[in-house]
Amino acid sequence: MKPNSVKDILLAEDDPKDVELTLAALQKHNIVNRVIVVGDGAAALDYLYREGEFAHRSTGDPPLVLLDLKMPKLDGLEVLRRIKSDAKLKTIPIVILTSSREERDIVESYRLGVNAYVVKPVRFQDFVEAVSHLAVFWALINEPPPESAGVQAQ
Amino acid sequence: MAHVCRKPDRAGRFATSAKMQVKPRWDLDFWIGSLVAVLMLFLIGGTFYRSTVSFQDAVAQRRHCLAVIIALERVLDVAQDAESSARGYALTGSELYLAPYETAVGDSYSPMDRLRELLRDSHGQEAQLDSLQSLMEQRIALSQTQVNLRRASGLAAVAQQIATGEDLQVTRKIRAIVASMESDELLFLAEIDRTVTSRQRAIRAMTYASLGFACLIMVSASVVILRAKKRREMAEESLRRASGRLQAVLQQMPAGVVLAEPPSGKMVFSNAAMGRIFRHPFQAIGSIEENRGYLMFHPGGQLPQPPEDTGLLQPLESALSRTLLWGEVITAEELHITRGDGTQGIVSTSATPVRDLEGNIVAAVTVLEDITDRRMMEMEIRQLNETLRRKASSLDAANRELEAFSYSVSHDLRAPLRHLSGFLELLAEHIVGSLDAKGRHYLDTLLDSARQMGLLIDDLLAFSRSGRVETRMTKVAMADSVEQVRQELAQDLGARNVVWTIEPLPEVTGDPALLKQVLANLLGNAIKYTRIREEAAIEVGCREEGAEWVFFVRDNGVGFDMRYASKLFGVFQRLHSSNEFEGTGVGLATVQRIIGRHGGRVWAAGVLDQGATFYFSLPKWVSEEEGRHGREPGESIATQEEQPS
Repeated sequence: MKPNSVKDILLAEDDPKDVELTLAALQKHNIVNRVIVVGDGAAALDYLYREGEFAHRSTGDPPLVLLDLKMPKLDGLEVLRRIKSDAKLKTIPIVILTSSREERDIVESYRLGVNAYVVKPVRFQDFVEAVSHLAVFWALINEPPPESAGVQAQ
Repeated sequence: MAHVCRKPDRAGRFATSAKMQVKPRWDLDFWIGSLVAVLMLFLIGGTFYRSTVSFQDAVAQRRHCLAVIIALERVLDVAQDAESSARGYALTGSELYLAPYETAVGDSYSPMDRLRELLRDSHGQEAQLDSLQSLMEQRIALSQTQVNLRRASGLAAVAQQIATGEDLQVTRKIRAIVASMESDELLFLAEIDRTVTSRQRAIRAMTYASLGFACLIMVSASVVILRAKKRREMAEESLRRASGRLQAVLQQMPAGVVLAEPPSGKMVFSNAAMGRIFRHPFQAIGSIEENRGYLMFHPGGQLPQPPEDTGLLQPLESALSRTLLWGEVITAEELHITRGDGTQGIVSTSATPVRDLEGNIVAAVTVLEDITDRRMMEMEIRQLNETLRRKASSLDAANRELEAFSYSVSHDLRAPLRHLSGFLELLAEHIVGSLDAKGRHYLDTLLDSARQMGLLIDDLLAFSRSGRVETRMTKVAMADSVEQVRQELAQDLGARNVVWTIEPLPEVTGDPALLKQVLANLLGNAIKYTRIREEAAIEVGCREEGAEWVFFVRDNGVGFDMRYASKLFGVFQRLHSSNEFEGTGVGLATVQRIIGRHGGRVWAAGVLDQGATFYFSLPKWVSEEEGRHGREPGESIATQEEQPS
């Protein structure tokens, strides 16, 4: 295991059922990372900037952020826009995990610089497969950007 | 003459351009001819003058010659008179004889002076003249000696003196000189006579020549005048013909035409359309005043009232008056009139002055056009456009609503479904050991229903999207698209035996992604419904029919009953149960919508248990505009309903 592989994946998802299913899917494949779950876009940004309830969390960026599109307060696209326009955060891999197959959502996400866009499959087996593939690829296989390129500067 | 040849020029404005081109050459000919004639006249006159002058000179010279001869004779007479009278007196002593002598002596200097005067300028005669002079003096002196001798010494002394012969000698010498001089003059005279004769001949010849030339000029002038006359007649004739044609054209015109002349404002022409436009007999107007008072020329048929305070009359004058008075050019001025039958109309008035070469206004032309219908139609079109715009905007709003609805379906409807499916799976895993066969069946049915609903929602979204997304029209090579779809579908064929027959396909104009969707649906159906065959045969081809390409996909599958053909393309309409063939009943509806948006049609033909053929047509060329907005779904459904027969 690489040293960074133990970092927490950030999951921004407002629907507790989806959270449960996602966690169940990750559990099935024994993804070792802890998953930090936030219920809205604002909380996701708090986590990344270590503000609010996450002011005292340990340093380091998540190896992967899974973003739902439809969320209270700030929606997924807005969170994505803020992350990708922040020089310190923009290197964090972001995957949109959503029910929407709408072309305008897909186009806008890629325009904002998303790293991947995944439509949640209806069938549970497919869903489990998709989520586990994502986690395995981004958290284990993919080499994340060095810490120096990230938020550590502060 | 100049006037004659100018006439066609003025008319030339109406004549053809070919005649205009002839004119300068005709002028040049005329001026060259005139110049030659004048030069000839000068030449003839000059020659005549010179001949006459030289003839007169010759006559004067002749007179001079004769005068010299006469003078010479007179000199001789004097000499002879002196000699004979002196001799007579000597012989008789009678004073009677002395009278002629006295006369001769008294005159003796006179003939000689005359001679000298006449010969003043003729050199070479001086010597002879001098000798004649001295001889004449000798002669007089001798006669005087004889008279004196007779008177003093008597007859004998005189006879002695005469006998010396001196007397005879002198006279002979005189006679000789006179004869010599006379012969000179006669020679000269003969020469002068020759000159006179030749001059006379020349003058006679010249007279004939002049006469001939005068005749020539007369004939040429007549020819020129006749030709000019004929030309003018032809010009007048063509002018008459052109004028006749113009008259016919003007009378046939749907627009009203009026021509008036300044300064009176008298109308010189108006066509039949005037009466038709005003819907009452149009009367010729005799003056500006009448024109000003003509109700039809004014808005609403109201007489113009000069605005108070200002003395301005100009805006109240009719178009014709303004053109006549001020040369104003009026273009399409709108006039609301009350017609003769009391109805309201709108007339477009244009007027322009006609000017002569000096720029003076010689006439004014007014053209009136009844544009009531056009204005009405424009208004109607504007109203229709407004209605259409309102409808379009409400349609836009409906579309936006539909889009929002689809979006929320996509998100909100799928989420609970996913949860249902997910938790069912989890439940199944959790209790799998404690379930009996019945419980397992219930769980499977639940899972299958959830999956089916997921498919329905996905297909419905795809169908909805096919109507909403903008089409991006480009060239699409249908052969390539078919091959791509075929390969994608072939991956799921497994051990099935499918024989593909794909004919050469054309390039069309369309949205590549949407057309691929059409092919995927049609070929997918063909594969699905041939599942029961050991050897499936699927054929794709295209025919050119007028301005369309007609594509077809034919299979040897289960086919369908043509009675139900109209149900094929409806949303959620199926001819088979899900047990027989899985499906949601949205695929063909999507095909129809996409083809409809490309301006084409879809239809199908089939025989139960033998196979089906699905057709779709595409226009050979689809404009950007048409492609982007597509067609209303209702339209293509209507087209489709006509097809199965």
